[in-house]
This record gives sequence, C-alpha cells and structure tokens, in this order.
Amino acid sequence: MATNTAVYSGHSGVAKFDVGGSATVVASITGFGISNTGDAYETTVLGSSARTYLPGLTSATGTISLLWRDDDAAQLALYSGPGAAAATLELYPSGVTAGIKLSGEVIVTSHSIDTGLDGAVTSEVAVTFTGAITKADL
Amino acid sequence: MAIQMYDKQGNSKIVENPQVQDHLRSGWKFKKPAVVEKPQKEIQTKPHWRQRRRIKILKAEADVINNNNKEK
Repeated sequence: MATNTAVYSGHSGVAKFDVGGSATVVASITGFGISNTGDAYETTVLGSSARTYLPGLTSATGTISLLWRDDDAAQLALYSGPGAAAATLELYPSGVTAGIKLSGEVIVTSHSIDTGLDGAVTSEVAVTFTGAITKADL
Repeated sequence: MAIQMYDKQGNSKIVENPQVQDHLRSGWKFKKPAVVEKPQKEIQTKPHWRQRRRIKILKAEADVINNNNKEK
C-alpha cells in the first residue's frame, strides 16, 4: 500500500514488541514517540565569526505510554525489558494498513507503573535504539 | 526485576529479566494455562507378530516321517 498523502490521525497508531521472537501488538497504548538526534562536532577556530560544526553520530530514543495490563504478553515483555537484551520494536504511527512502519532494535531503559486516586493505572516505557531506525512504507 | 512464568504443564517459576525472552521462545508464557497439558506417557506399541512362512512339505525324506515304504 502506498504511503499516505494526507495528514495522519494519531488514534490509529499501533506498537508491536518482541515476544519470544514474534512482533506482538502492545495492548492499551495511549501514545508513543520517537526522538532521533544527531551529534554536532564543533569545528570553530579562532578568527571565525560564526560557529561551525560537522555532523556526528545519530541516536534515537522512544517512549510508549500505556494503560497498564497484566494480561497482555507484549506489555509484560516490556515490563521485563530493563536489563534484558535488545529486542525489536515496531511503531506504526498511522496504523498497520496505511502510512509507515518505524522499526529497530531497542533496549528498554525504564518501565514504570503509576497509580493515582483519580485515574486508571498507567505505565510508561522508555527505550533507546541500538543501531539505526528503519522506515518502511506499508 | 523478575516475573513469574508458566510452562504448558502449569509449572511456574520466577524468571529474571535477561532470561524472559529465551523462556518465551521455549514456550513459557506469562499467563497460567487454562488447560494444563499432561506430560505424555510412554507410547506403547502393540507387539508386532511376524507372519510365519508356511512351507508345504511335498516329500518327506526323514525316516521318522517317511514311513510310507514300511507300510508297503
């Protein structure tokens, strides 16, 4: 299917996480995000009037916000992520049938479960990509 | 962190995070199985009888058997 030419609607987003080798949909997601950054190595020398830089290494991190579920294998795999080996994360910003897929190997750097008086039990997952993110059209 | 996991027989154990994915690949689950799979008994096969070859004796040569001449 071709890449969307329209603006994406965020409510169709899907995330899949590695459960024993197969990408499994993570239940009850309320949002996710990816931040891709690149280092800039300064090359400014005396006598310059403006700072100059060289492009450096890239890195990417991501977050997934969830309503906590203890009956979902993918959520429990994310819960077990901190300290474990890198696993595959797939993110579909506009759903699995249109738009793009962003995927890569991630290390789960944090997982939290948050309970409050006035809301559902929520969970927050932070990941760091090891290697590059791959973008593919659906 | 560690998490409780179950095998198909319903056995459970606490698995440390670095071993969770390996356990998932080996068939362990996070959820206790609703139907417990009993360990398989040793398969007993029926004894296989060899069919005896039937040989039709046309001419008896041994003295014990061949008593035809004596009767004459």
